[in-house]
Amino acid sequence: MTTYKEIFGKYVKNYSSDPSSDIEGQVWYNSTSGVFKTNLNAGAAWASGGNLATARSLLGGCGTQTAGLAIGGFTTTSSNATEEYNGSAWTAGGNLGTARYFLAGAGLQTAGLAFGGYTTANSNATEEYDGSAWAGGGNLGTARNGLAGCGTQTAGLAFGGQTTVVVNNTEEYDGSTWTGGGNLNTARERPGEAGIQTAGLIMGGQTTVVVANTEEYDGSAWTAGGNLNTARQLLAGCGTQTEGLAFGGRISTVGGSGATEEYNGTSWTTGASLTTAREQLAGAGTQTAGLGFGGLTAVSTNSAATEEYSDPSFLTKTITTS
Amino acid sequence: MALFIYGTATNYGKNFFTVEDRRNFFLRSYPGDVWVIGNNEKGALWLAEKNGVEKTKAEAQAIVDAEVTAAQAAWDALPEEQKNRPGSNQRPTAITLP
Repeated sequence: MTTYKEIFGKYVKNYSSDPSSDIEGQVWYNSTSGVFKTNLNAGAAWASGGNLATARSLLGGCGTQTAGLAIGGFTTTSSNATEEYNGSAWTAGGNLGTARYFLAGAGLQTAGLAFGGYTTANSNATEEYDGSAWAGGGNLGTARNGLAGCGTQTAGLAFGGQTTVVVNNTEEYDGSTWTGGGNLNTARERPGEAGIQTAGLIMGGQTTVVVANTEEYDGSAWTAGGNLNTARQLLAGCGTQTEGLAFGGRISTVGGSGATEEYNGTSWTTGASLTTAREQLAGAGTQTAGLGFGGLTAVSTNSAATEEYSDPSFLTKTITTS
Repeated sequence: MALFIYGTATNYGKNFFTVEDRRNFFLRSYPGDVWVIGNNEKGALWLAEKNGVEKTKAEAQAIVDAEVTAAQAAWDALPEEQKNRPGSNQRPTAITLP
């Protein structure tokens, strides 16, 4: 009889408890329970993460699933709260210099960027985070709220939003100064976003109506991408231009959606739904390891809920002969 | 057999529900800490393990309705400038549990 080693080239490993593994098809022997086990690809799924200390909506976000950053937002007023996520729990970070909501975030937990938003008026303020404190950066050329942002602290991108009208402006940040970039083809506010300065992505949002449009930025101009299957505004996004993730948002009425979609650079396909449907949330991470946090629930309550997206996700199954 | 179990439970954060939970049964949250859970053994066990309290559908709907009514009253009481601020909410609407 052919052995496992002859087929696979290795013996089956022996563990006293199941290993934390994300390798599809890995086989091991659990000596405690006396059974063989394997990891199966179970597709995409959201799981709960640690709750924000400050429930809020219209916040900014950046970073990764295991090193996320929640920035500002709206509680009953503008918030300056910053929280850092470690993959399990949120802890307080340094406060924003300018409390605000409806802002954009970009970069990493240790090199974050916050820009735009609304205080008692539209803000052009930019702040840079070093992992513990915020410092002033160069001001946006166009003060606005409801904008989108992506990229890094030294190569950021701001696009869309609202001044007194919905705008199509794009601005590029070099770590100190914002300069004009190519305009969006469809001016909009409240969109989702992903990517970097030279490969940006905007999806959904609102013109005078909710839209499904996606546009891709190449560092100088925006071109049309595939439409979202579910048109919506006030959604969150993360990932890259060719591996983007869109989730949550408002489809028609207040209360939010749990809809999640994955972008492959051409078209959007449906992913696993958020467990807590919501709008006005923030996103971070990648298409395969995303993070959604905060937002507004169906009864206009600010949410502290965090959810972690995994695609693929793995289930450990016992191997039986039946 | 009913499609769903209804209950209340407080989302305490990490591992309140896992990827495996999401694969094993339907799970969706509603206002008032109401959870709609796929009606199978693993779904029922999840609610019990989370110190949840099982409700009838009518009881769960009543909790949600009360939350919506309170939210509508709160929204109605907002000053106009709050209703008109950027990103302001719309008046909450009724929610019907599945």
